[in-house]
Amino acid sequence: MSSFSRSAQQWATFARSWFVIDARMQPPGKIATMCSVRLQGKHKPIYHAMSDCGDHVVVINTKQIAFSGNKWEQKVYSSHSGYPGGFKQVTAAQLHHKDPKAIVKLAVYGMLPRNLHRRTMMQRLHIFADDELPEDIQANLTEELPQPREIPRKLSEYTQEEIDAFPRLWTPYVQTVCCQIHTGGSINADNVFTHSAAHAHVIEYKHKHRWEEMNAASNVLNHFYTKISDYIL
Amino acid sequence: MVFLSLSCWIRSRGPDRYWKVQEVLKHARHFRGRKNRCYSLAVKAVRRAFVYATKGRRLKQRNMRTLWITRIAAASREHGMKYPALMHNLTKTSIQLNRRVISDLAITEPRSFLSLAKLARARQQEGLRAALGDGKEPAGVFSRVVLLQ
Repeated sequence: MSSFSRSAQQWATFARSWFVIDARMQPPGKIATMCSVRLQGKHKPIYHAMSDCGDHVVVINTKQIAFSGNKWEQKVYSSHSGYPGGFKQVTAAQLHHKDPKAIVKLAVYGMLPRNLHRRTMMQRLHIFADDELPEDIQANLTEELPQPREIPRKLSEYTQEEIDAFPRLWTPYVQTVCCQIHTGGSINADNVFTHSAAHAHVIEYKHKHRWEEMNAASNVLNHFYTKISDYIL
Repeated sequence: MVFLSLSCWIRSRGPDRYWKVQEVLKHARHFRGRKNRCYSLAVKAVRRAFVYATKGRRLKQRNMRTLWITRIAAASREHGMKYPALMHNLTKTSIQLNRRVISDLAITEPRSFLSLAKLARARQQEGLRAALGDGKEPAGVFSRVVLLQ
C-alpha cells in the first residue's frame, strides 16, 4: 500500500490532456466550473494542490454564451484602475460586446483558488470567440467534454408532427365562450369548463407568439371574468 | 540511540548554562535572522515553533482527510458516481475501508476501485430494482444472501 511505503511515489504522467468545450448556448458559470476542475487537476485521483497536475482546456464559441434571467442587463462587472475616479462598472452585455471572451475568462479566474498557481492555470485556458481553432491547438486536442446544458429549441425548429404529438391538457375551443357570453349564458358546469378551455387557449397562443390572436383571446377572457363577477356579486 | 549531549554534560561538570543554551539553540539553528544565534530571541521563537508543531499535528490529519476526499471524488466521477453517494452506499454495504485506503486503491489499483464503485452503484439502485425489476440479484455482485439462496 502506497501510504505505508517509504519509496518515492511518482504518479505524475508528465502529459497534459487537452479538453475542448463548446460554449454555444451554455451558462458561463457551468462552463467555468468544468474548466476550473480540469485546470486544477481535480478530476484525477492523483490530485495534489502542489503537484501542478492540471490539464489544458479550450473553450470555443464564447460569443454565443447564454445568461439566464436578466443577467445581461443586471450583472455588473466592476474594476478599479487605482487612480482617483478610476472606478468602472459595465454590465455583462457591454462587456460581452467589447470582448466576447471576457465573461468566461473572468468566471474561470474567479473560480480558481487564490494562490500563486492561479496565473499558471489561467495560461492553460484557451478561449476562442468562435469555433475556428489555430492548427497547433487543434492538433493537441484529446477529448471533447459534453455540454452541461441541453440547447433548447425554438418552436419554429420543431416539426409539425412533434407539435401535434405534444400532450395537451384541454381541448382548445374559444368559439363556445364567445357565443355563450353574447347570449348571456348562466353559470353552470358547462360554462366553467369553457372558461378553462379559453384559458388553455391563451396559454397555447403565448407559446406560438401570435400576439394579436392572444390579445383577442384574452379580451374574451376579461369580458368573461367581468360577466362572472356580475353574477357572483 | 546515541546521547551526544549527555556525555558533554558529564565531561564539563560545573555550571551548565552553556549546554542549556545549546539545547534551545539546537532547535533554532535553521531560523531566519538573529533568532538562530541569540538566546533571548531564540527561546521565544522555539516556544512558538513548538506550539505551531503541536497544532500542526491536528491540522495535518484534517488536511490529509480533505485530500483523500478530493481524490476519491475525482476517481468516483470517472465512473459516473458522486462522492457522497459512493461513500454512503459503501457504508451501507458494510465495507469498512477508510478514506486513506480507498484513495490509495483509486491511485494504485484502479480496477479494485472500479469494483467498489460498481458495488456502491448496485446498492444505490437496490430499492429501484426491487420496485421495478424482476426480483433477481444484481449481476456481478456476490453476497451471503446470494450464496444462501
